[in-house]
Amino acid sequence: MGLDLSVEIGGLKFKNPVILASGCAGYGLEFEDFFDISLAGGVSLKGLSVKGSGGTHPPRIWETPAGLINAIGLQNIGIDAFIRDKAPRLRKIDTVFIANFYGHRIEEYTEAGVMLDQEECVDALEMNISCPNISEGGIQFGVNPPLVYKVVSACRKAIKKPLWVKLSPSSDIRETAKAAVEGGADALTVINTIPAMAVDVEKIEFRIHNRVGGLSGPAIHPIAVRMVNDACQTVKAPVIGCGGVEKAEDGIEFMLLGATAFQVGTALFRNPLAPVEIIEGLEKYLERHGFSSMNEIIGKLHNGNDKPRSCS
Amino acid sequence: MKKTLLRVRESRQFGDYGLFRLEGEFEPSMPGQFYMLKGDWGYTPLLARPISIMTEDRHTVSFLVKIVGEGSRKLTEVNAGDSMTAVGPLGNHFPFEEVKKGDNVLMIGGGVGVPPLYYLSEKLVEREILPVFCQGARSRNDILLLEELRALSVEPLISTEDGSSGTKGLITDIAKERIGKADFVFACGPKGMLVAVSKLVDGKTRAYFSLEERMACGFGICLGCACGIKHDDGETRYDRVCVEGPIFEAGKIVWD
Repeated sequence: MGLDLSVEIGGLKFKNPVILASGCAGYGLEFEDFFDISLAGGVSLKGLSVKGSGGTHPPRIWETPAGLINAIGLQNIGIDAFIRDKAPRLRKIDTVFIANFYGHRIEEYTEAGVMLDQEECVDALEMNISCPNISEGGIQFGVNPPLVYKVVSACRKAIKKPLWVKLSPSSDIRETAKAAVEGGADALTVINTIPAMAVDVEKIEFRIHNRVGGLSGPAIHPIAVRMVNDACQTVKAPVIGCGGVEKAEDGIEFMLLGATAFQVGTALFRNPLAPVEIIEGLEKYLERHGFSSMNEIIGKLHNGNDKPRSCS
Repeated sequence: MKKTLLRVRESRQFGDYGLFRLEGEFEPSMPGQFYMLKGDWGYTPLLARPISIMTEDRHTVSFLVKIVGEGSRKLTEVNAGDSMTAVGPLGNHFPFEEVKKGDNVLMIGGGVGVPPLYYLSEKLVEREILPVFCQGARSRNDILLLEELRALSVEPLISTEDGSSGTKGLITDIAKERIGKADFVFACGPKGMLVAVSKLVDGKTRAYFSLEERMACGFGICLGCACGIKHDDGETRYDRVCVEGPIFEAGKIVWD
């Protein structure tokens, strides 16, 4: 009793550190049949773009050992339709809504960001920078630190609400974390899915029509843990861990290394009640270890600890 | 729909198939709907499997699964007393309410497309509508629910690719002439079969197909199970087989 699960990210208060990850939580409303989503700390909504996207041709998903490759093509209804059809219901739900958004040019990012910034139900914005930049010959924004700085600072100038940046694992996470924070990011989500591929050797064809997809699920968790650690060691801005969280302990790993909160993604597909179970697991963990708040565990593994020993 | 823990009441395997009956608290379903099913097997496989309902009564819901990979194999290996996580019932259903007494109804089921059509037959027979049931299979060992269909007084017309039972050939060989006379066609089976059937359906017959697609969630959030569907506004869009489907009007499906 008396456990305090709340955390704060850049001035925004969260009931608990459990945030539903973008792309795995729809527009937030799809979970209403399963649980009261106001129980979640926050919900990062399906990535939106100004005009929306029809998505890629199927097949779009392929399951791998403890993982899932997907290439949905950022299918979304577009920001106007979101504000018209979804936002009115979200305005009545008491949790933090983070609007994930993307573009293929810097101007598309800022335009999308400004539209979402003005919507009442949006508490913070999360930039997906793992998109090809059409103006720069298709190179991903997220893998090139100067480009990260450029697109983040352009959005920062245009947007008033807290701005999060979801980093690509295909980058040197220290460099892109630095670039995003220098560009004005209030928080970093670490990491997006890992580019992956699978082949059907019997049919001799790609498992996914788009060929390349993003790998998620428990398989990527240890990679995410390492990258969260590196980001936390590099920048002072709050980090939100993301990648393969299935149970409370997976999120706690991120937090012990310095993350302020964490996101739950692929776990929602196999278990739509995962957020509720994870929140219960967090309470049990605090009790088990005699902590009274989540804040006590943030970065605990690094507090007062030296570097790993070696024999040289 | 909801997430619930059901208990295996009975389970049996035959050949490449497994049939299991689950009991517990669940919401009533309609024919054509499915569940996302998963046993207590950790991260391998990671995802639940979408399985169409074969039949249900007040206390149990039954499924017939063909073993095609690790997930389906594990599903069929459950024993009485084991528990299974079930999310559902999911998706839309065959519009059986629109069928009137006296209508000529044709079912076309290939392989594991048969169980949901069996469930649909039960609902129609309850209303004294006797469908014509065509069943296509690779060989006699792949013919499903024959006794159960007969118990409904539905005598299936069989085709097998190897000629080991019924007419030798494809299901379209036995269904072809009947499609033109039907008021309703309900089909479920492999994509190749559905494409072939769609070519035989004209505008006068109301034809509904149940589609199968890889799914991660089953309730509309992953957008993994997309299928191109022609909409009334003339546009083709990717619909979700799990929410807008799995049953679609045959003429609206974009095959490729």
